Amino acid sequence: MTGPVVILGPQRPAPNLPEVLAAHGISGPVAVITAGWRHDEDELDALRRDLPKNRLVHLPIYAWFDEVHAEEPVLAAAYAARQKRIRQYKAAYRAQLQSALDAVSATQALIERDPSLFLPELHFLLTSLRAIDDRTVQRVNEIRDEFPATAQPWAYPAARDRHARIQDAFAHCSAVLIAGGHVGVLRNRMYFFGLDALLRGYVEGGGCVVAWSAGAMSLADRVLLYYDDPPDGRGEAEVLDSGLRLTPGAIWLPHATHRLRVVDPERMARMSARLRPELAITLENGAWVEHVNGAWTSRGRPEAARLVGALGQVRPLEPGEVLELPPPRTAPDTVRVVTP
Amino acid sequence: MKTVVDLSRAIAADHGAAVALLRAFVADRAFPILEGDTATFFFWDGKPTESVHLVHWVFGLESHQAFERIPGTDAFWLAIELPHASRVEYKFKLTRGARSGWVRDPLNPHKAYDPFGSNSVCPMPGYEAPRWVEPEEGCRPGRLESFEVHSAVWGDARTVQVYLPSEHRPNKAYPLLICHDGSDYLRFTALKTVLDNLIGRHEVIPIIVAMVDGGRRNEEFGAHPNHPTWIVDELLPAIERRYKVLPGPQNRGIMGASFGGVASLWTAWSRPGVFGRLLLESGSFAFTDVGRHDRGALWDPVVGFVNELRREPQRLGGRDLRVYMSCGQFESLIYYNRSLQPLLRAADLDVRYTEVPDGHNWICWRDRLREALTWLFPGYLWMIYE
Repeated sequence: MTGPVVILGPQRPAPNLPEVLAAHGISGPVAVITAGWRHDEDELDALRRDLPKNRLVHLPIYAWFDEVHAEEPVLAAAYAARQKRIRQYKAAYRAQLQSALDAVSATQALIERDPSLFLPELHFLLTSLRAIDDRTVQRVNEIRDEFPATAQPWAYPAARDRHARIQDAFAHCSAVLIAGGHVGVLRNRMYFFGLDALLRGYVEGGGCVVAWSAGAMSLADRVLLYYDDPPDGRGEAEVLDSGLRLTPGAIWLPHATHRLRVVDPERMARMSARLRPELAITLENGAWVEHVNGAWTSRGRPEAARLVGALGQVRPLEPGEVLELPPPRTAPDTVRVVTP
Repeated sequence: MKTVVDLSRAIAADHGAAVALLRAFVADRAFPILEGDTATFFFWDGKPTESVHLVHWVFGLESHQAFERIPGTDAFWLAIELPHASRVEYKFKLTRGARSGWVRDPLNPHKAYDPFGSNSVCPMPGYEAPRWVEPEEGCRPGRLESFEVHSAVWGDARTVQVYLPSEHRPNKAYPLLICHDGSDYLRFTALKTVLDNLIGRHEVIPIIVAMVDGGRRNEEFGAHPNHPTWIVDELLPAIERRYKVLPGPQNRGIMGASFGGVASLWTAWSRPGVFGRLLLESGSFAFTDVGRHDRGALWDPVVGFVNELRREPQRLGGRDLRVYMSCGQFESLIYYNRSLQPLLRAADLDVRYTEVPDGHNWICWRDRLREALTWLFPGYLWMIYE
């Protein structure tokens, strides 16, 4: 029987993590991953205050990553070269994205004139947009394959011990907590230490994973970056990379109220269409969506978790509402929401 | 009653009801009356008044324009066209008997403050005060502290106010921004709140801001030969002894408005390679192509510096230097700023230039801070989801 995977919104100003752990009967030690906080990853005072009854077993993978790099120069050089190549490639992705988004905007502006003429064009362009996003995930993986020395960092002597310490922590902890922060750093550090497989094994063994904000984003099939009103540029969302694939079918969007124009249905519809078949779910402080016994259920504060609909409408998930997440990408789009 | 013209007609038709009509008129709407691109200024306080003039600082627009009296009353009005999204600070000049003086528009609650007092504000349709100038939920406040630096070059002790971001820890190094007229920036642009918000939103990387004021401000900031010595040889080491600051010009910025902009550019030009980030708001970059300037002796060193800079802009340091420049279209300085920015670009500096329909005032400088700081010290806003 698999354990629960719990997705939470931002923990400020009012954390609901204590309530979540209590609800799942987790009173023992918990493993904590805070690599998204980067150089601040060991500042656990706030977590300790929130969880006074749980012993925190910190897994400082942000620092470990630097230590391993210092001890394994061959790995470090290959990893740096790989990341540089990925960054260089991203210029091509952004150029493709920009052209496609310009075409989508131009076509959206035409639809009112003659929907029957232009809607098929819009659908075609949105399909192209999805193909561009799919391709970036594929290309980044291909670039990684060009660097076999970086395929299993934990196989290097300097990382082996730390990898074992993660496994040991998982064996003794009743939950793994993954905090938010810098989603790129968090995602990369977790992959570096093989946490995609370790977390999957942990959940399959009945363990509970609780992740919030960037932690939640990194568990999805792919990581989407978004900020609709940046001080510079147009603020078009872009796919960063694949995620850890622990919550297939959902893309989690924390801080949506601040980061997205959720009141702009045209923009949100475009995002929804672009992300299909995944379902876009926004998360604010108090959100709590969990996968238990094969079903995704919203249990948090009303309005804190919302579903982005196909037409761009953003609808709150009711407490107790069961979400049917779509099947893997290869299957047809069959997004449904079931209200008990 | 929709307009002043309607009001005038109504008063003309029933003179005995003038006071009641005026009372109803002023109680019924916001002033100035804004319709499309026209702002109608209105004055009536029930007291005998000879004349009313509009006092403003919009370069190119006739100043001291006379209001028109509504016949048989002490009410006056003036309609002028202003650009969309513009913002004009103004006062009324009232003449009553032998006395005349400037007052704020008594019917307009919108005020803007500066070191000389306050003005009334006419924000035209399209202008909106930015959200990030007010404290935002979730953005943790940084703190201000101050210390004194003895300056040998000025022969006195100077107070430096320092903004430390909320996450500041003594053992961690941060980029540094030196701000001229720091006290005024804090008071009139809400600089601390702006920094709290932009850093809290991750739009700006956490930075330390050291704020200084001039002793004899205009003289010192006006391309004075001692100023770079004070900033680079005295202030900078004092800051670096007290706080951990990231090395390299890309982590060091200097900023200011008006003469503070001159002081910033003058320092960067005099000591190339020290500062890699410049924030210059409405810089008083007066120059001459031929003959003498007519701005007074205070400007001699400024004009001399800018003339020299125009001959040798590459001395600033080229591509590694990122410069944000802004200027209000209603300032006489717009000509100089417009002229300077392509010159700096041609010298291969990384320049961003913005001009807006506003004047030489602190709100205009406040409103540019997001664009400026996010470009000079960009945060990881696309990446951080806490």
